[in-house]
Amino acid sequence: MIEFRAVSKRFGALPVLHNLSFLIPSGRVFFILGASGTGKSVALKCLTGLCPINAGTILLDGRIISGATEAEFRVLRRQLSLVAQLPALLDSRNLFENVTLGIRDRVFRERAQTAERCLEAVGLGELVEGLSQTFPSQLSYGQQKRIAIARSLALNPDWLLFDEPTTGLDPRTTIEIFRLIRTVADDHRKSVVVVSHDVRNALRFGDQLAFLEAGASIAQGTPDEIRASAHPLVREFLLEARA
Amino acid sequence: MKAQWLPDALQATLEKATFLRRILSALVREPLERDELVSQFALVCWRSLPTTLVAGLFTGAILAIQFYLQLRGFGAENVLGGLNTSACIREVGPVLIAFMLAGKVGAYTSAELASMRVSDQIEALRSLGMHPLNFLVVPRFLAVTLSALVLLCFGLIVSVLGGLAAARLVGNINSTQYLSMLPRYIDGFSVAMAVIKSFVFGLLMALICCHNGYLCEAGTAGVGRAVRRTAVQSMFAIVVVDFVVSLLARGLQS
Repeated sequence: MIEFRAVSKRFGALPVLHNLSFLIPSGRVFFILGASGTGKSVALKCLTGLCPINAGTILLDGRIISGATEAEFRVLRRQLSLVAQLPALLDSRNLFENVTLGIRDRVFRERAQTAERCLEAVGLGELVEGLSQTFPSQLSYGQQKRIAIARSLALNPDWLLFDEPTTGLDPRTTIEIFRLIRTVADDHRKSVVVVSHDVRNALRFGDQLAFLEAGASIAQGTPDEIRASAHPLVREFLLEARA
Repeated sequence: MKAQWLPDALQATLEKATFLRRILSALVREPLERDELVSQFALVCWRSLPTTLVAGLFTGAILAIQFYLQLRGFGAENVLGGLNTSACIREVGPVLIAFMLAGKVGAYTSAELASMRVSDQIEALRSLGMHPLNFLVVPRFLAVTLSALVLLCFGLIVSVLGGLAAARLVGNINSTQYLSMLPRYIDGFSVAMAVIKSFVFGLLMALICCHNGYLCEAGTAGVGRAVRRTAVQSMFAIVVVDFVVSLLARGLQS
């Protein structure tokens, strides 16, 4: 379980997270929703130590991780693997090297097996054959996103954190990616956190949702509880999702 | 208008020193990425060898022609080989070849790291629990330093051959005449200084290009600024350090 306790983060004079508190249960698909600039992505970066917090505490399974050193966070990031908004694959490396980047210290056979398993998991099994001859630039944007997910899966983390995983994708690929996230969570028993502003798909694919506004949580619950929320901003988002 | 170049230069030097400390710290504390080091070293050597050889050849040849034109007036063509080789090995060769490498290897490395920074590839490595400085910078730093040393040595050898060819072509001086004066002008100390200079120039280039690329500012303009800074700072650092090393060498020799 991940817990944010009164977490605050500011960039200079600009506050981004303000006393943010919520619980993210393990073994679920948890969506963090909200308008642009409400601190959703920053919350994920704070969680993984990519962005230090100014106040509050973040706990993982009851253990405080927010004060960890960079070396400690490096170990934690293999457990809490973040799939960033952009695929950010290493463009000078082939797909095999990209997928196995985090496990490059292992023997080739093990890396090859992991790469194959992870590519199957993200629906790119057809790429296994020419993996070492294919480079990121030869793939579509949607495929690159899938490779980025495979790269994180290769670490076999307990948590997969997705930051706006469907940005820049067409509606069909968006559904495919959300479906993939759901499948990965169910089949591979991963705890998943997704930062998104896509309320419709969050209600469809999520187990729990939290709404952020001005860096604070304004509503949290199951899809049914969120649908019944009386908070004006949540209502506004739900109306937009229905439209 | 208040002169700003001195504080800027001091700040840039301080930043480079801090970055060097980070590199050395990673080198000591983290496991060396051997595969990365070998591939970067091979890549830099392979890509830059032709440029270095051509630069070395022409540097030696141009200097030989200039020296010949001056020496001919005094009837001292017989010292051309010694004088030209000494100039090539001690000063002009290391500096000119280092300039060429700064423009090629330095700019390339800086642009590569800067592009990785602005396209979030470095952040992605951090997200995977990796140490980006150890994975990307340390192997490039070592590869550029070592390959610059190797390339400069090759370049200097070729510059001697360039001088020899030009002396034959312009002054009809044969190789025996040309090489006979070498021992009077070149000693172990000169060669050692050339090697030391080559190493120091390589280290400076590596530090400057890695620092500017790795810590580049956001956006495509940031990549451009990183490459420009690398070119300017490398060349500036090379001439200043060359001056200092030459002064020290003179002190040591006397």
